[in-house]
Amino acid sequence: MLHLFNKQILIGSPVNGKVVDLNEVNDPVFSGRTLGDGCAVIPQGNRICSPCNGKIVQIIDTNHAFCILSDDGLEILVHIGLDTVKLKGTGFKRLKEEGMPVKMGEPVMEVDLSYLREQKKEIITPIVITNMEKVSSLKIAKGTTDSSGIIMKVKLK
Amino acid sequence: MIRVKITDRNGLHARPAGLVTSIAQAYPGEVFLEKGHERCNAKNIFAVMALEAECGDFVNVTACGQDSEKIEKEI
Repeated sequence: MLHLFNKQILIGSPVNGKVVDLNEVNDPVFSGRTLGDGCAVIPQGNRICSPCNGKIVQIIDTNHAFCILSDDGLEILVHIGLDTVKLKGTGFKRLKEEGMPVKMGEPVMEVDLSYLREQKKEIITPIVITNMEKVSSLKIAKGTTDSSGIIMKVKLK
Repeated sequence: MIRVKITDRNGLHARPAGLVTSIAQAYPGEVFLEKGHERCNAKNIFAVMALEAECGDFVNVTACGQDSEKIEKEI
């Protein structure tokens, strides 16, 4: 494996929407950076895509979250909405399976945002790097974005 | 080693898994969770979530090193 010093990795938005700081997420597990650091997107589209090139290492049973291992070695968790585990899979449709390779921008999950709203679930979607011990710096790009617009710039140690 | 029963209706999902991981990461020794034949590193959030421990499942919590009982109880 090549060691690239201070290589910058670009993370794309999984969906069109508005990028915000994790502090704006109404769940201390995310706003408190318990799982790692990153940002969140308030989605406007219903296709949630991979934020980077890599492999889908896990899709949670209830389809509300998935984990990608990027080609650069970052473990990225995309958690669609808050408390959405309680929907037990309704409102989510898997478009890919665990173990599949993905490219940035490839759709992984389809979500019914209106169903989530009906069920009084917040749709804000945290995107968190869970292996922050590999990261030396992380910059987020707040504001409106298209799917695959760059939302985070990460430098590895 | 401590054996626990998952009582959360939603199982060991992101929120509790995150709490388990952050407690485990603060401990210098190794910490494992075991469900049936599957064993995972409690310090790795992906591994803990992959265990897919559901409501009613029994999980063994094992820590290796000093104060292992204390960390097991905390988890």
